[in-house]
Amino acid sequence: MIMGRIKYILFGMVTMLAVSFTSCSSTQTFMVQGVPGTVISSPTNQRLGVLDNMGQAQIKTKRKDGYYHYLQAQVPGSNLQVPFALDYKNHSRAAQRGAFAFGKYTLLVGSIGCSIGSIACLIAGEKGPIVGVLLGGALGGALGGLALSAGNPKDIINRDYDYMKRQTTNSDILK
Amino acid sequence: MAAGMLSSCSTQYLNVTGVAYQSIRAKNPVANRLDIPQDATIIVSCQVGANGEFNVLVQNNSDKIMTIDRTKSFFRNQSGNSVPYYDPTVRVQSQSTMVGGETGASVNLGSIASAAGIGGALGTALGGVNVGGSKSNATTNTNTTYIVDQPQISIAPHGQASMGRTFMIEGVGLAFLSQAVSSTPTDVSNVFTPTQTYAACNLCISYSVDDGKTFETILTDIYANSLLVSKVKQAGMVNDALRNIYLNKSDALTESWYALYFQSDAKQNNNKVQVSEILNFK
Repeated sequence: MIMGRIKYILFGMVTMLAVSFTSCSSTQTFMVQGVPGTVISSPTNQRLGVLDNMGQAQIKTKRKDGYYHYLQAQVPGSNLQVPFALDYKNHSRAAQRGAFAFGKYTLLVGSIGCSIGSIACLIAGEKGPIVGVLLGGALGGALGGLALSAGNPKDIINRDYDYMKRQTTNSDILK
Repeated sequence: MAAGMLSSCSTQYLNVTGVAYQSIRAKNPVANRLDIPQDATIIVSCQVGANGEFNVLVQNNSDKIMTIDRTKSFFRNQSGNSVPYYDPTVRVQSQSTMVGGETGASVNLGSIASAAGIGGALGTALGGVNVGGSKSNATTNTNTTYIVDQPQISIAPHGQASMGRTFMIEGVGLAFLSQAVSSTPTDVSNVFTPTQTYAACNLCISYSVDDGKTFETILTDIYANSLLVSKVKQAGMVNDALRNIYLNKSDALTESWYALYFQSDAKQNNNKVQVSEILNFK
């Protein structure tokens, strides 16, 4: 009976862990292609990378910075910073939000239950059940914390897109 | 719990609908300061902000004191309204502060009892008794500042000064571009001449280098010389729309002033405004 329950708890934890790892990375990475040596910078002129000899570079952006409508490319020997827009693809992150909500409410309900149970045991002067309640609370807290680590839903609101894996500078048109 | 989970599962997709571009330039453009001859008397530098704010800096390039007559210097908008730089309105700013406090403030009888050498039970009892009755002698100081516009500005030889007022150019800036993308169902690619444009302004500055005996004028005409709107045809493919703008205006990024605007429900990082001074000289 107890072993069966542990099996379900473990299954839940692994599922939550998988959801968290697959959908809550705080950065996005994509490849930019263009003329070798081109400097890629953000709209605020923060240098993000330089295209290598193959004319490509991995660019990493933080999700919390929001969607970059464009980045800028400066070809070697030119003073011109050429904006290129970032293509994207929308996809739902409902699963991640669901995991977060599940964790949040599990934590809330678990904590309240744990507190009430502990107080009741203390009043009754029983020591045995309180250990079980505290362990249950700790497990609930761990599960909730894991889900909460998936991020704040307010953060996730702007995360229903991903940049396309390959982006192109416009240096071929404007030199 | 279930309701909370369901309400948090709504999907919010990103939606970039189009890219807009506009540029402005002077009717007689001066590429940069190197193109201005050494013997020029006056250099006018116009700066246009992201929302069409128009500011002017005047540089005295002569060896004499320059006087700018602001009563005879004007900004004229596309609509034809001409406004002088001199504003005769007198503005008043007042600030009041209260100084002082209260006299005859509460007295603790305990201190009197102590000073009078009354000890024991009576002294202890008096220690907790306060006698009130105060009178305010506070005074109010009011500082009044009168702000009066200057009809003339004097500029030292080879010095510079701001014209001191900001005007707005109608039809220029990010708000205008946002409206342009929203109201246009198809792509737009228009290049304009100074006489056939949707946005223009004129600047007239009256100046003297002979202690105000004679005044000359320098005129600067600025106009919007392009407006391009490129719709995002396939969801998410924003760069195709941007490339479309570059293809239709190959000098898009070398204009003195241009604004590039991405219409989107994500409000950050969605515009680029390249601001260079628009120059004129005489």
